[in-house]
Amino acid sequence: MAPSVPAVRPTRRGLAVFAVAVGAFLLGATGGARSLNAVVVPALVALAASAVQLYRADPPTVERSVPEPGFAGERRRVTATVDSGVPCTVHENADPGLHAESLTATVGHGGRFTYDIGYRRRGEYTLGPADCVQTDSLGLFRRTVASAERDPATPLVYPDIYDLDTDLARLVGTFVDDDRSSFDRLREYVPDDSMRDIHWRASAKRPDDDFLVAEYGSRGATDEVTVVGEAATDRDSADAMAATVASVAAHFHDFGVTVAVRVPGGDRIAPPGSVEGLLELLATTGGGRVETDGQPEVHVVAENGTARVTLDDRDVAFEAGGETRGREVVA
Amino acid sequence: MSTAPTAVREAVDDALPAVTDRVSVSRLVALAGVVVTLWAFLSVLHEILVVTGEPEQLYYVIAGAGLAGTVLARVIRPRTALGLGAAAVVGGTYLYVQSLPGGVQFLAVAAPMLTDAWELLAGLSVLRIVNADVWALTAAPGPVFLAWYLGLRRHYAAASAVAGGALGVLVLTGDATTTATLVGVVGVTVAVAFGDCDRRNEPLRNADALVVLLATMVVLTLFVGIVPGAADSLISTEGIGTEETTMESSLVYAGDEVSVTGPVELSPEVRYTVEADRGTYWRAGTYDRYTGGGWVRSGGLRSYQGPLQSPPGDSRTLEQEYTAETEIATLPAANKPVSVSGVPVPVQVTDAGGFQPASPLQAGESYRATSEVPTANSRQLQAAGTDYPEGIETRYTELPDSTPARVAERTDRLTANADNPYDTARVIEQWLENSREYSLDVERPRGDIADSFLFEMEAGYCTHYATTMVTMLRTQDIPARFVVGYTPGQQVTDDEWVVRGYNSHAWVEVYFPEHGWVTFDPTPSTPRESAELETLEDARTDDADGVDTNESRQSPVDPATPTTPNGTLGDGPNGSETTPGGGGTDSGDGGLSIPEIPLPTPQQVGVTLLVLAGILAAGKRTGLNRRLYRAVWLRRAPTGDPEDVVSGAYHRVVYLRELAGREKAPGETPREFLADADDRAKRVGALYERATYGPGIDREGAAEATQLLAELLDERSRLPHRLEKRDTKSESDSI
Repeated sequence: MAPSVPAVRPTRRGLAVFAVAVGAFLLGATGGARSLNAVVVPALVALAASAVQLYRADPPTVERSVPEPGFAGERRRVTATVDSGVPCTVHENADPGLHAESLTATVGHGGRFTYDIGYRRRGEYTLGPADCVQTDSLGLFRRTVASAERDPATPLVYPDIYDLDTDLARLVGTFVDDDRSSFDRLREYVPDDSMRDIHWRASAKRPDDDFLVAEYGSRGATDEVTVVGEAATDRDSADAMAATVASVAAHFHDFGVTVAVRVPGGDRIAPPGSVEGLLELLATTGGGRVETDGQPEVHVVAENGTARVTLDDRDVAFEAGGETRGREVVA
Repeated sequence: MSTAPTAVREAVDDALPAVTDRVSVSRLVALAGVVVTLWAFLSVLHEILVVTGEPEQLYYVIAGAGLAGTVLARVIRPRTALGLGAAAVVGGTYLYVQSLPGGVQFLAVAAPMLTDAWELLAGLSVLRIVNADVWALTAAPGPVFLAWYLGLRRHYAAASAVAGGALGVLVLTGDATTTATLVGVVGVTVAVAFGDCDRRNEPLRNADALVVLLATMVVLTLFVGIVPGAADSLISTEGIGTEETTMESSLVYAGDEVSVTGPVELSPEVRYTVEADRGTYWRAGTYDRYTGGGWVRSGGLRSYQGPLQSPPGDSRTLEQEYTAETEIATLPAANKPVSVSGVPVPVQVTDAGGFQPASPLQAGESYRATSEVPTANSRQLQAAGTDYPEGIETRYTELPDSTPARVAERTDRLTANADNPYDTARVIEQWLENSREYSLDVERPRGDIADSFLFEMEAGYCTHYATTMVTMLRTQDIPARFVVGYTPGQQVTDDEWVVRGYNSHAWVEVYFPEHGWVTFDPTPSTPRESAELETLEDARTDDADGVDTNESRQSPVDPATPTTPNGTLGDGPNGSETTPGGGGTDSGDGGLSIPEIPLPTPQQVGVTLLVLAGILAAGKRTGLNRRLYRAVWLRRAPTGDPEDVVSGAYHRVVYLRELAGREKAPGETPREFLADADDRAKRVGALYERATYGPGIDREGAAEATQLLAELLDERSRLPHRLEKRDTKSESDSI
């Protein structure tokens, strides 16, 4: 689609100058020239030069600093750098899902301005393209033109992360808590063994440098958990699912357990300490079902805006009532 | 009202740090634009006040209004300020109306005032209204206050609109010259453009484009006339054209204002025929206000209701019947007309007692005029004394403030022996007749006409003579006025005269108590008449239309103009008594006469500077300046220490390479950049490396670099460059 050339229109000031020129010409033509030529000619020169200047000016480009992702309730300052050959008033278009203020700025012949956005709800949002009103240097003409965008900025709002309520926490706890009382045997360390299973005392006693690994009676390799999230397609359910998955994953991370997450938006393996990638996925995912091989260890299903967590054949409702702990998780 | 002083004090306290704080350049420039526009407006008012005599008061008014704007900008809101500005205008109008003679009631004159206001906007010069000085003073404060207030409040566009609108009124009244108007327009443009910058908190941006725009505006205004008739008026005020004007158009058809112009031509066309008992000067108009550059008729017109007053002294009645031969827009009548009849259009009477048709008379139309010609003889006039009526004395002895003092000094010397106004007038008349050549082909004088004619010009025509004589008389406090009309013309029968365009003339009337206005003519008549005859004969040879009536072709052209038209004065001056003789001519000039170098006028200087700035700015925008600079730089040999020379040579070599299309990347070393270059360029690069990063360079190395650069330049172009080629001898000398 070829961009249509936006119309150059006179401003109020331009109309006033035109009226002065016409009035001066008529008075001069009917009542004697006097010095009216020195009014008419400069006025026409100004109008012509201004129209040409604006007509020839390129559309402005607006480049924004990409705001850091964050959690609902947080604020970010965005710096927009405007490149324009003529004076320009920028009206930034922020996604209505963001709380934004002072989005209009007059920047002159290029320049920068800042505005604040507030994160309200999980999701991916866009800033721009901006609507720009360009005028000529004398402000006689104007045209409205969308800024030529290279890549609009996309702030991300992560899902909320809550402390798990007691039921769910206990359940998750029993799931990850190794039953180290039922010691089975010691064996030699092989690659891929978890460091936490190394039996340091026994290893120290061995004459060679090999490590010994303890094996326990119950499930041993609980250092990775698969979490699958599914949700109805409404936004509330997707939000509930994302928040639940994020909270559960954060809880597993507390125990040093890597979480492999699969949600309708994709899948991601998040070892403890690197949660951003997972949060990005959870920020953007929608509702839907996912294909899984067999029964996942943790299964989150959200419907009608509430999520339930199934784990070890037990089914617990997720209450988003605990303490919010988003910042702490990311930090 | 106790809060007012505290508010003012707070405002001053607020204002002081604001001034000392750093103000943005855009703001300063925008405010300067507002000031320039106001200056253009005030300069016109100042000009009016200079003509009427007392410009000093204007300075106080401006200072007061500016101060009020500065202080109130901190205190009151724009709406209040608008109210104050409007109040200033209304108050000014009230003061003006109060100053009018007759003590009219303010409200009673509302309707006529609206008419007057309309006439002013239709081109009635402010100089023509009564009490023009009061008008100018009362018109000043409102716009100054409001524009300055708005400018300080950052409403630059509104400020420009106020100042520009005020100037616009003076443009409409015809008082603002093209120069003043252009200056105002430039001011408005600057204020608006940089005001916008300031409001956006921008630094000075795009200034070069604006300079180009301003230069274009000015140049196009000077050379393009869009408004009909603009080109003529412009070129004549600028004095750069060679537009021919006729004596007649510059005098008799001048309407309310006579501006003294450059060379004039004479038109041999017949204007009208006069039937009268005697031939005399047919007066068409009188002018009372001298502007230094021309004449203005002040006061309004009233419709003719019946006979006018006769002159106070003895007079003889002269009946005249005029028949228009072409369209004429005047109603000539001999001094002093008392009644007129048979005019096919409504007749108006000027303040000074002359007749004017409301619209032009067509060819073939005629009218009758009755005049009472004063008959006082010289003895009576000598004894007339100086007991002038108040109104006459103030109005007809007024001179512009700008009149140089040497005019009065010279007149004092010339007339030292004259002990009454009549003798004074005679001496001046005689002296002017004798000491200046008559010529139609003179440049328009610069500055005060009378001063130029007295001290700089060798020759002139009737306008210069008459203007100078009136000015000289007024320096002696003798009421005098500038009069235009026609000389008697060609007498075709005993009581009939044919008047042609070239008979148009300017002369002088002097007021004598108990006798009224008496005619004097300082222009030498013989050269004038021969110039007129020559014109007529040329026209007859060319068989031009309209130069003759049936009678005039047959009768001889007899230029029998009396030197002094007033018949009763035929006995002439007593001659020897006061005529200073030839010695007076040189006495004031102080000896040496240096050939005059024509100095450019301020307008020419301003336009030239602006155009130059425009060209520079355009060059900057297109990058031409930089290329030109580089071209010169390339051809100038680097000088200084050996290090500087080598570095200079290296940078020129780099520039040469870049001209050839090889761009130097920011991080590229000299060696990389010159890797595939000419060996000599490589050598310069190596020398540069040694000078900059190595052990340094000696004079020999520098000379080598210079030599290599010269060779490279030689190969590249044939344009001359200033690199001296050193031969071995000079090189060994330098070591």
